[in-house]
This record gives sequence, C-alpha cells and structure tokens, in this order.
Amino acid sequence: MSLLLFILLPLLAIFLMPFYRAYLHYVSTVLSMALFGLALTCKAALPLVERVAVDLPLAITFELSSVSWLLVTLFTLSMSLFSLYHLRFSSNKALFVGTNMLLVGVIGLVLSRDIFNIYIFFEISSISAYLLTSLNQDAKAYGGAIRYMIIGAFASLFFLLSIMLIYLTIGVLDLQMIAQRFNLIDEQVQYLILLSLFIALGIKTELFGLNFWVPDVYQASRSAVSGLFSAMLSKSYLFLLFHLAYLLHVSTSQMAFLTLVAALTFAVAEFSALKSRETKRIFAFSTLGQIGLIALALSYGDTALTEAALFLIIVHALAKLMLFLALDLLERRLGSTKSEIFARFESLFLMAVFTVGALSLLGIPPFAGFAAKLSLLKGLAGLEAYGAMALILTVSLIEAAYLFRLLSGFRQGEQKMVVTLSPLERLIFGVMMFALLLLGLMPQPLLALCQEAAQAMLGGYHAAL
Amino acid sequence: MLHFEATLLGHLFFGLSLLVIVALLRKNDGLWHLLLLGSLGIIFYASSLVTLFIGWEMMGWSGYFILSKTARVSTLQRYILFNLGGAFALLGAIALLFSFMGSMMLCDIDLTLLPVWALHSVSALVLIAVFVKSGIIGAHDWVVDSYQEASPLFSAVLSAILSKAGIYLFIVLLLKQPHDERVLFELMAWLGAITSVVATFKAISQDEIKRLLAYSSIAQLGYIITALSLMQAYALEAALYHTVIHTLVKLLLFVNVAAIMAITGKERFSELGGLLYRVPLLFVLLVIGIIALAGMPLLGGFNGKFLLYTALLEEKRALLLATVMFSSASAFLYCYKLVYGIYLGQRPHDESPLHVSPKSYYIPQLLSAALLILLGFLPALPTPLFSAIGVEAGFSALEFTKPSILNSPFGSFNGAVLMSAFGVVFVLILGLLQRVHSKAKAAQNAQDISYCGEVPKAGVNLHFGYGMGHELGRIGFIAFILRRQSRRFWDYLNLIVGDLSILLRSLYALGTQHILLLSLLGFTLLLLGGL
Amino acid sequence: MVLIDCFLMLLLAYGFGFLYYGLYRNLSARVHGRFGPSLAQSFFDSVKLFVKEQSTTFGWMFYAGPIIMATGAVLNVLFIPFINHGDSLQGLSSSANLIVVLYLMVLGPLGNALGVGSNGNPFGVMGITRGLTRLIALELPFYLAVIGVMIDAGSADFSAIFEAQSQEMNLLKHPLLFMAAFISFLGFMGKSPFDVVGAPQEVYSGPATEFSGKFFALLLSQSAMFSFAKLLLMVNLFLGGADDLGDLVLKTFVLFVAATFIGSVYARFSTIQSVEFLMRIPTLLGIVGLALL
Repeated sequence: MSLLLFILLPLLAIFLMPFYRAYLHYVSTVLSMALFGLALTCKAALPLVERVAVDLPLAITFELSSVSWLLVTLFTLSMSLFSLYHLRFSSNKALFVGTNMLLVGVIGLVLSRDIFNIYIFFEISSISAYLLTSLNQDAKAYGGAIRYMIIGAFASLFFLLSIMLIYLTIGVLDLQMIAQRFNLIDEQVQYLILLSLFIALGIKTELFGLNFWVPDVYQASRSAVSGLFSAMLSKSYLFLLFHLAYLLHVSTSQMAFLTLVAALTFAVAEFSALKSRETKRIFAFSTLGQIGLIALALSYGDTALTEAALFLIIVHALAKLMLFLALDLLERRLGSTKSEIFARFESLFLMAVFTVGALSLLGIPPFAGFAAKLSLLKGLAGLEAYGAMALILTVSLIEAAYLFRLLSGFRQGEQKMVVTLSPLERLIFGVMMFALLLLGLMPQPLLALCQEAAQAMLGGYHAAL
Repeated sequence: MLHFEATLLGHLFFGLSLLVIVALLRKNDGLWHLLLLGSLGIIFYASSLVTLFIGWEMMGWSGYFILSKTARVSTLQRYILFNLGGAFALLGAIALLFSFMGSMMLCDIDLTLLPVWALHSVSALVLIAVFVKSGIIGAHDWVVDSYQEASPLFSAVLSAILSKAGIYLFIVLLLKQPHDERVLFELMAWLGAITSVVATFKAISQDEIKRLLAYSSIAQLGYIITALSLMQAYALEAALYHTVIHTLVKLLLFVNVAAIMAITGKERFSELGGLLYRVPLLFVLLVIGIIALAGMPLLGGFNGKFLLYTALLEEKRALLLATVMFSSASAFLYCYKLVYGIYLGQRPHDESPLHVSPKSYYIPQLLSAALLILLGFLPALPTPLFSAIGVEAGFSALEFTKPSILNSPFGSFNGAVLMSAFGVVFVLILGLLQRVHSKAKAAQNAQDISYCGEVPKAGVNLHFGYGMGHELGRIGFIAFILRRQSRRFWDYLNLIVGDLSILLRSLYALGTQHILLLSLLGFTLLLLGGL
Repeated sequence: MVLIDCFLMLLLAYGFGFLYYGLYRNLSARVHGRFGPSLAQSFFDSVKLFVKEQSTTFGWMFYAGPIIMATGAVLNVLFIPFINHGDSLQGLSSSANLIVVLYLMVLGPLGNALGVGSNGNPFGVMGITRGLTRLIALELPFYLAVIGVMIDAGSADFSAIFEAQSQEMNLLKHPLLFMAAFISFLGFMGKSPFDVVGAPQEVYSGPATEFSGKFFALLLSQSAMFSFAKLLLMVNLFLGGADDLGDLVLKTFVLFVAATFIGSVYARFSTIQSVEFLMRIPTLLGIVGLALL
C-alpha cells in the first residue's frame, strides 16, 4: 500500500471521468469513503515515509506522520460526508473535478515533505478552489472566482519567491534538509524567506491583514463548497504554516508576531460578524474567527496547546461542514442565505442541526466545541497566558451574540415552509450531530490521538519561554 | 469527564429543584424541563469544576430554549448574553484555578495557595457569574424582561430555582474554601444590600405583576448575597434558610399569578382587581405568600430574615443591617400592591368573563403554603440540616435545642408559642365579635361606599391598583433610584460594539486591488521594520 | 401562671391605653385652648360601640381586617415585658425578642390594609398607601436606633437590653439614638407632624369611616392598647424599663406627655414632606449615633 494512492486515486477518477459521466456523484462518494477507509487502516503503520523517483535532494517525499494522518483522515471524512450529501443531486462534472482536485491538493499539502511539491499541491488546491467558487456560473460566482484567482496568484508569487531564495542559498528542497541548513543562510535572507512564506501562507490560511477577500469568496460559492473550504482548505494551510514555522525554528519574537496576528484574526472576524445579515457571510466570519483561535493556540508552540488546536481543527471542521451543508439545503429550498430564512422554514431536525452546530462552535457543553475550548484554556492557563484567555472568553461572547441571534430567528415569522429531509440527509446530519455530542462527552480518545499528533507536529520545536 | 459526589448542600438544592420542577411539570414542554432538572442535578452534585461548568451551561441554554417559546428576540438575546457572560467568567475562573491547582476536582481547591492577584481575579470572576445569575443590580438587566415574558410557570422556575444556582456556586467555590479575600466581600455585602433597596422600590413602581415579582426576586437575592458575604456559620444558615423560603414563596406567588392570568387573561394591576370573592382560596394563598415574602413573623419567611439580622448584628454591621431592614420594610408596599391590585378593591369596568382555573395550579401553592406554615410553627426544623452543611463547609455547628425554637447568637424565639398565641388571640377576638353578620346589610353595588359624602357615578375608576406607589416618585431619593437604569449602560455598550463591528466589517468590503496593496505594504513594512 | 400574667398585662394595657387616650384628648384640647371631653369619654364610647352593629358589610375579609389588627396589638402587648426584672408581667416575652416584636408591630397595619382594601373605597387605599409610605420612612431612623441598642446590649433579648441599662439608661448613654428613635416614635404614635390623615379631614378615608359599631370599638381599643405597647417599647429600649408599676406609669407618662405636647403644637407634614424629613435629620442622627457607639 502506498501513500501515493491518496493522490493518484482521485486523479485517476478525474481522468476516467468520461466512462461514468452520469454517475459522478456515486463515484465520488465511493472513492472518498474508500480513501477514508484507507486512511483508517494506515493508523497502525505510522509514521510512513515514502520516497518517489530519484535521490535527494530532488526526490519527491511523502510522509504520513501522526499529525498528517489525523488531517488526511479528517479531509477524507469531510469529503465523504460532502459527497454523501450530494448523492441526491444529479451528476455534476465541475463539482466532481473541483472537489476531487481539492482533495488531492489538501492531502498533498499535508503529506508532501519537499517544498516544491508543496508548491504543486498549493497550485492544485488553488485552481480547484477557483473552479469550485465559480460553480454557480453567475456573475457573482465568476466575480468571486476571479478575485480569488488574482489574490491566489499573488500568494503563489510569494511562495515561489521563497522557494527560489531557499534553492538559491542552500540548494535543497527537502523540508528536513532545509531545516538542517536553514541556519547557514544569511540572517536577512532568512527573514525575507520567512516573510514571503508568511505572506503566501497567510493569504491562504486567511490570517488577519491578508483575509479581507474571504467572506466575498465564501459568499460567492455554494454553501456546501464553502463548507468544504472551511473544513479542508484553510485547515491544510494552517497546518502547513505552523509546520514550517516549527520546522524552521522561527524566533520567539516571530512567533509572538504570529500570536498577535492570530488574536487579531480571531477578534476582528468575530466582531465583523456581529452586524451581518447574511448567514453564509456570518459563517465565513465565524470560520475566520476559529482559524484565528486555532492559529493562536498553535503559535505558542506548546504541546498541550497544539493538542487543543488539533482537536479544535477537527471539531470545527465537523461543525462548520455540518452548518454549511444544512445551509446549502436551505439555500436550495428557499433560494436565499439571508438570515431571515431562519424564520421561514419549519423543520425540527434542521433546527436541531443549526443549534448543535452553533453551540459546538461557541464551545458550550456538552458539545465537542467545549472540550476543545476547555483544553485550549487549560493549555493557556498552563502557560500563564491570561491575556489570551481573557480575549478568548470576551470575544466568545460576541460570537454568542450573533449565533444566538441567528438561532432566535427560528421562532419568528408567520408562513413557514415545511422542509422535509430525506432519510439519507437525516442520517448524515444525525451522524454529525452525534459525533459532536460524543466528542463533547468523551473527548479523551481523540485528545490522545491529538496529543500524539501534537508531539509529531512540534518535533524538536520548543518555544523559548 | 463527569464527576459526581453527593453532598448535603447538593441534596438541599437539588431537592428544592426537584420539588419545584415536578410541581410545575406540564405535558407540553416537559422534556425541556426535565433537561433543565438534569442540568441542575449535574451542577448540584458535581465534584469537579468541569462537571459543574457543563451543568451550568446546560442550564443556561435549556432555559433559553424554554424561554424562546414565548419571549421576544431582544429579551432572548439579553438572557443568553448575560448568562453566557457569567458562564464565561466562571470558565475563566476555572481555568485560572486550574493553572494554580493543576486539578479540576473541587476537593483539590485550596484558595490559600493562590497569590493575591489570582485570588482577587478568581473571586471577582466567580462573583460575576453569581451576580448575573442572581440578578444583582447592574447585572439584572436580563432578569425582569425574561421573567415577564416567560410563560407563567417557567417564570416560577426561573425565580424559584435558576436564580439559586448562583448561590450554590458561591457556597461551593468561595465559601467552602478558606481564604482571606475581604475587599470583594465587603463590596458584595453592600451590593447585595443596595440591590435589595433599589429592586424593592423598582418593584413598587411596576404595573405588570410579573415584573413586580421579578424585582422582588432580585431584592430577595440581594439579602442572600449579603448574608453569604459575611462568611459565618449563622449567616450561612440565614442564606440557606432564605433560599429555601424564597423558593417556596416564589413558587407559590408565581403559580398564583399564573392561575390569575389563566382565569382573567390579564397581567397588569390596572386591569385587575376585586377577585377576592371570586377565588377566595387563591386570595388566602397569596396572603400567605406575601406574609412570608415580607418576612413577617408567624410564617417561615421571618426565620431567614431573623437569622440574617442577628448575623449582621453579631458582625456589628449596623449600617448594612439598617439598609437591609429598611428595604425589608419597604417591601410591605409591593406586597400590599400585589394583594390589593389583584384581589381587593373593585373589579375593573371592562369586566370580561372569568375562566375556570385549572385545579393543577392549586397543588404547588397548597404545598408551599403548608411548608411555610410548618416552618413558621417549627422554625428550627431545618437547622440540623443547615448545621451539617455548615460543618461540611468548615464552619462550627449551629445551636439547636428543639424544632420550635430558632436560636441565634443574638437571641432566639419560639415559633410554636408565637403561632399559638396568634391563633388563641385571633379566636378569642373573633368570639368576642360573634354575631358578626346579624344585622349588617351587604353593600349594594360598587358605588355603595363612602365617597366624599357623595355616591360615585358609574364609570369613575374606583380601583387604585395602578396608582399605588406612583407617589413615591415624588420623594427625592426614591425618584433618584427609579430614574437609574442599567439598561441605558448596556444599550450604550451594545451601540458601541455594533458600531465597532460595522467599522471592522468595512475592512472585508475592500476591493481586490486594495487588498493586494495592503498586503504589499505590510510585506514592505515588515521587511524594513524587521522582527 | 403565664395566662394570668397575660391577662393582667392586657387589662393594664387596656386601662392605661384608654386613660392615655382620654388624657391626650384633654391635653391637646388645653393646648388648643379648648376644654376637651371627660377623661373616660373614649372608654365609654368604645364600650357603647361594642354593643352596636356594623351597618354595611363588604364580605368576610372586611371583617377579618380589624380582627387581625387587634390580634397584632394584643400580641405586641403580650410579647413586650412590662417590668425589667422578675417573673411577673413578663407575658410571653421570653419566647420572643426585640426583632420579633418589631416585626409583630407590622401585623396590625397588614390586617388594616387588607380590611380597608376589601371595602372598595379608593380613598381608603390611598390612605393605606400613604400610611405605608410614611411607615417606611419612620422605620429607618427607628431601626438605626434599635440596632444601636441591640449592638450595645449584645443581644436582641429584652432581658439583655435591661441588663445593659442597669447602670445608665440608653437615653443618657446614646442620646443621639434616642432622638432618632423619638422622632420616629412621634410618627408611630400618630402625632403631628408625621401623622397621616384619617377620617374626616382632607381625604375622606381611613378604616374608621367604613367600619362602624363594634368594629369601630375594636379599632379604638386596639389603637389604645397598641399606643401603650409602643410607649412600653420606648421605655424598655431607652429608659431602662420599669422597676415596678409606679415606675412604669411614670416613665410611660413622661414619654406620652412629651409626645402629646409636641404633636399638639406642630402642623402636619404632607406624606412626602415627612418622608423627606425623616430620611434626613433623624436618619443622620441615627447614623452619627451608631458611629459613636
């Protein structure tokens, strides 16, 4: 069994598309579930390293460490749920290509161990994201896609700049070797490389200062696709950014800068959502906020906090995917994502879905978000980062304000449209809700995995405290 | 994840919750109420901070969903934001405690190990949670609207039970732990007393019945908070006693009002009146309720106040005691308004037909009335329990001779003697005035009264329920109190945050070229500035 | 034994109550330049009224009001000791204490309020509201003084309060507290300037107008007994209690005369004026008195 399967199988599926044009949604579902199964079976064999083609320094290396395993599993799971949800809709070529390429991209990003390869997957995921954004084929979608493309190109530019500088100075592309030789580089060039990487990955990770385009893109995309972005795309870059930061042993002050940016991302995004009347935009802001929160935790370079951050990544991906999918369902039935739609439908099940999702996002027990927030706060308390704790708790209140305002929409409105869910949809959402509840009540098994992953992710990095 | 432990304190609080919720259980939203009961069980039996917090939050949101069936959106937002604010403060305190104790178990907490600043912070954060739940003035903004807009029976739950969770929290986290925090407790004592005064006068000026009861709830919790802040065995007994009494009284009063609302469909004093001879049993129950609420002797309501006063006397807190007694005396006015506005005086002109009140409304009222009378007769009945709870919390045992004598270091009284004397004297005087009904003619109609030597014309408003308490507004310092509104502050804060939100949101409306320009600018600045 | 004691106390309170009421009518008449009725006139009035019937009824609560009120007055008499030592004329005071008595004093007004409220006369309730509003203000300085006395004695029991005054009575020990309490006491006794108008002045209201016959008699008697109980309370709190019956008469009489004379010469404050006055000067006196404790 090879790690290449994770990348080759979806690509193969895309190439063979003409053979099963009418059954793309089935293929996608089977494929993603197979990949999920594959990922699960890999657990026993961790860590897996695989080298394709020639020798170092030009070899293409993939590594499945416990942290990338966690993310790959999450991505394939998200993709499975996404495809399952789309089973009842007709086969869609652009969606099939886009999502599967996105899957290849994000899996490649977390598996690759050399920087040029990372760049390739960087581009694959970007292109598929542009494609997915324009899926609706209207002016708004194309506008969003073009905007995304321009900003993506800008990010690629900086990423290439950093690769170029690295190769010029130390002549290697393998991450491990870069890490070993990074100190040899002139300090100012080091700084330039790190800064370029920060700009490139910061744009993709959607950090404050570089994320002003995000709500528009999310709004232009279909809700379900936004869910995929939220669950997979931003998470893979988040991993990459901090993986590189730990690997290259960035200085304490640089980490502190990341902390600051993360805190700003969190606070500004949550504040911005407060007055928004557009559900998709609100969820986009909420995603930005959660990314800020995760980045904040990761930026301390502490095992306990990294563990909490990884847990939060998983929980948030699940909750956000669920919310976006449910929103997609509503968007298809009611033709709008304005927050008024909450007053216009009648479905106890969907109400429960939104409620559980929102409570989990807020970190309210007994849902999974609470376990994440608690371990986050415990970690911060351990580091005596009381300012960050106060920030998280205060801003969470803002988050509560807009999420509960959304929820209070349920009980307004007169003529309600009854929305019925198919058994499959009930199953999907039911499983996700149950997972959120279960993870909230019994977070220990997953936390243990996250701890293992955190150690793998931090490697030798220890923040000088 | 969840850790439980059975304590006497837990039994007491959970017992009260069980009593109230079971007494009020109805078919239509029974599940939510059971969830609420479950979350209360988690809180009251929790042995770890996390468990406590989980229960705390579940209580918050299950209350939210029950409330959401009847309340307006702005009220709901207020309810959830205040409660979550309190909960997050609690979470902060828990995380802070964890960072020093390294454990989440309640039994591992030792506040003496905390440095001074951490002790202050933890106490302040816990107090925020307590104050929000109890509706201490300033943090009470959510209370009144929620009580008013909740369904009548849920108002009873809110007032009788949910407001007590804060009291439990305080006892468990701050009272049980030895520490030498004093400044905050001094502040808390005065906050409690001021709350009781302010809320009392606010209550007097209300026209809606449930708003009056809500303010009265706030005032009663003010007494409990003041009692708790003394950190002393008899003060703890006072607080617990008052908690029990207030639960019973508010159960009785809210259900009584619910019955009246079911019968008349009205909820304002200005629309009610003269129901005494239509529903005499409800009237008698309400009178029992207000006697206990006002803390007059004979019924249980006096016992809590007596213990509070003696505790304050023992601590020589004369001014605090005078404030509390003053507020307690002022409470007579709203108690009277409650009974007069609904049952006494004249029926309003637009007399609409009365519905029959469901029998189920009587059971909880009779139950709590019976308990209040029992506690009036045997005031020291629960003392052994309170004493044991105090011992659990590290205080010395309370003096207990027999159930009819309530002891305190500043004097004692015999409830049985008091009650019997009242009964005997009442019966004797009644006997003296026998043949009461012999020749007196019943009043012919509503106009058959001594009205400035005239007979009032039909259409003249003869019910004074609405006007009662309005003249208080002409008294300087009461008018001053009535003019203060924390609502203005919170609205202002809301406005500021909203404006900030709109300002920040405009960042996300930047055009592509500006975003790129900004990124480049940032890159350049960072490059030149270095890190 | 206790029953006889109680009976004696009631008899004394009833007798002295009406004696003082007659004296009050005489003294205030003299101050106003009139002669006034005979000393026993009120007593005869009440006896006569006891055999008369109530004319109009508004239902059972209307009747229960005066009865509760009278019960409150009787209980007050029973729970306040007449004599500062020994076993005689102690009534039930060993089963209660000062705080209980203070709260029992509100029982009467409650019965009154319930009875008046049930008669349907809006002016009656207006009078009740005024009375209660003034009561709030009256109680604040009184409470301050009483708290001072209790803290000084270290207990709320009457015996301890007597004990604390065995050397020097509270009037001399804490003159400021006494002044605060005395100003409130004027109001409690229904003396100007803090009285609330009853029938038939200004507002045609008050319990006495709707109640007639034996209920009026009951109200008169309870008012006389209640006044005596209040005098007794002041004597016990500030004048060291009475050593014997003669002392009791002397001390209550001094207080009574002082209150009557002051009440006779002052004009009445409106409710708001009296609340604002009571909240300022006597309250301040009380606070200063407590600070000096």
